[in-house]
Amino acid sequence: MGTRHRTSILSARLSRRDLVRRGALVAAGAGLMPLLAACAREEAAAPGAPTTPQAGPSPAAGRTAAPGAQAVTLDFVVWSYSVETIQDNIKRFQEKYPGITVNLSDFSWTVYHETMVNRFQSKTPTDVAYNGEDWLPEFAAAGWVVPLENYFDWVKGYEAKTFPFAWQSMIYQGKVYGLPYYADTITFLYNEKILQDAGINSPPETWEEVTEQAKALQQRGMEFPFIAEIAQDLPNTTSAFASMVFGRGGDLFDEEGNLLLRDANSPAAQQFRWIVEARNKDKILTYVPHETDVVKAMNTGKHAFTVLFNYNLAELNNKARSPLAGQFKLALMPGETHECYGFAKFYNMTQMAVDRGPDVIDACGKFIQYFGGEVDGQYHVAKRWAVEKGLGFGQKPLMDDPDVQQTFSQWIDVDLWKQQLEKAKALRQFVWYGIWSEFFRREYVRAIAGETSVEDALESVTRKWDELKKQYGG
Amino acid sequence: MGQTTAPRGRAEPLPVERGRSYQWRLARSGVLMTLPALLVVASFTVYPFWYALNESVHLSSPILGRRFVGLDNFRNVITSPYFLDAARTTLIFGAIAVPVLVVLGVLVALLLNERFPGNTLLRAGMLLPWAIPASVVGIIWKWVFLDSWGALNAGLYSLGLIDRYISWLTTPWLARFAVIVAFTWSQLPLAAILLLAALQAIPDELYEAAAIDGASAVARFWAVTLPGIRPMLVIVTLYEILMALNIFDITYAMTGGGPGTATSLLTYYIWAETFKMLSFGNGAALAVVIALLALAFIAAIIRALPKEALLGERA
Repeated sequence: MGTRHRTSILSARLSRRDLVRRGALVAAGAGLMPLLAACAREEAAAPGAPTTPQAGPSPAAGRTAAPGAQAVTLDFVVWSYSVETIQDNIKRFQEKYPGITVNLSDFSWTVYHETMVNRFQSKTPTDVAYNGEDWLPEFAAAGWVVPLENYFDWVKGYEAKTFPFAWQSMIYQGKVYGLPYYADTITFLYNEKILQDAGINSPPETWEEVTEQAKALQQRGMEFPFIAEIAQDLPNTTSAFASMVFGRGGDLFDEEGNLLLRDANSPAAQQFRWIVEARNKDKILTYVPHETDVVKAMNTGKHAFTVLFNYNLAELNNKARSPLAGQFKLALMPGETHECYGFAKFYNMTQMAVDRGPDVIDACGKFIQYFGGEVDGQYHVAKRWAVEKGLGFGQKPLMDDPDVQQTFSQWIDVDLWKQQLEKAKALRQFVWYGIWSEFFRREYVRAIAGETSVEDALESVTRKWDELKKQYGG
Repeated sequence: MGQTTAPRGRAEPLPVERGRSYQWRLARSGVLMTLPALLVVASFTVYPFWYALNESVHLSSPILGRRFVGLDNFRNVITSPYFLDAARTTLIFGAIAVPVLVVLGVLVALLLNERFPGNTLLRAGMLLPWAIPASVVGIIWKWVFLDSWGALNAGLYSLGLIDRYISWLTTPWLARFAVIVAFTWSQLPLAAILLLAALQAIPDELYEAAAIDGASAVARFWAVTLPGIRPMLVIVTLYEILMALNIFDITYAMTGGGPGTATSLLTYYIWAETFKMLSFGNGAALAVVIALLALAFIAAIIRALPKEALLGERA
């Protein structure tokens, strides 16, 4: 108790006041620095101009052993999914290639794009990285990633062994940039038991039927029969929308790079309106910001329909983790053509790796082929992802693999899945698509939340598309 | 002026000269001692600020290249409807969260200042939310508020308080409320501990005197406690205003800025412009605008406050 007394170290009133005031201002300044620092970045060596394979060595070059030396260290960057499996795959790779050491870095999927932009801009050592079909044009145009076929003759040989939608996802300006980490579709999933209990014998085939069945389920007390993964920061949101548009037989843009959403009668505009009305008029739809939230929500039995990356069906029907496992089924994407969005996520080699010289390029080739391709007659890594995690694959031979067939049949109707795969198609690629997609999602979620009308949102995204197309020289 | 005793064999300088020399040496050693810290602070504050300022007047894109554009970036961001929306959301968020936080901080500090069994344990335990990373706070509270399987809906439903689940995170105003709850929860420990420290510096004699004068508990709070903690209240308020302006992780992890853009704050807008839209110039311009606004705002608050609020002395 004796210590509870006011100390008066500073006796002068003015100086005390100044001290407090200046202290507060300094604290304020320091507090604001993260805001400013967030925008600070290292300047690119040659902004705007993609660097060429002949460009001078990058800062990463110092890590390379002298020419002719055996040991090479690769920096491999991934988004965080089953990192322990990746580490184990790396271990196996290093056992096969003792001269190559791989350092792994992983980042959350939701911030992967931004992380990689930062990483490439600041020339943080990165030799091989996961990439997505929606970011490839952007990363390639910036000169951050390089076409594999410029460096390895064996790349073209994989075209015949890869599903067309997956191959197309890895192409930019006619050149192939990667081999698949996994390839999948965004599909329509439903709870069969809920439908049967409601006397509905088959899943919806059109979006109008989705509404009808959802309303029937509402009458039986289900508040939101349809649950979707929708968030403005999540690339999946645009991809899932595209998949639904594909189901109607439409597309987001034509071959000339014109946005089809501008036409109110286009399948894209119709689907945009359907989603907004499902939320605000029919009130059959709710949404959560991540696919794992959807999986958990579907397992409450409070929702019957969703559109998700297909591998989530493996999780939904996982008896060890999902209370309602076995009730979830795949249906062809509703709409006139039942097409859906197919994509590949893939291994990219970076310009930084090229700058480090031939030993590193060679090591990257071995690494990418081991992880995404065929080694000793086996697709070791892709098969492992398929069997252990239920990830889809772009490598056609795996479809006939007995282990894959046996595993997949536990959670999906394989024949129906094959039908859906045949109807899968990749998105057309434009350099500005990734940027536009960010803008699109903002307007999409605003329309769904009732902050703007469908008409205003469509006009806004069309204006932005045209602006970006002009800016990026499309 | 009397002559002081000189050391043997040396002439004593005049008092004024000795004083100047002493002041100069004092100032010099002060500068030298603080220089390393100043250099560190400068490298982490002045350089980023200069860099952001420089970026803000350039079109800077990894694809389009880099060129000087003057104040175009500032015009772009300030006239954007998203800026106005985000600014309004941020102001609403700060205007509600900060007062709630400060009031709760005072109440908790008053509670912890009392003697009761388990007080020490409570003080240590209540720091836990502050020690949890903001992104984890966002995820924890998302799990509490999620519509279909959140803990809150399940709890309210099982207690019979609701007959259908509440759409906490898909109803704009409820989502804002949820984010404010999460922010308050994470920031409350620090505010309470700082205010507790201020409370403990108030002499007991003041309370005893007030009690002898017959002051009630409420009167003692207004006459003794509040003036005693006023300087710390100012610091806590300013700090929390900055935190409210800077909040990013919690909303990002909890709502992703949604539903719609209901919880998209200015920081999210900076992030999206810079790293999602690859508009480094726009992002930097936005950061500069917000930093200047915040500094002006805080300076205005400090100037507007009576000096006793800063010094903790009664007029």
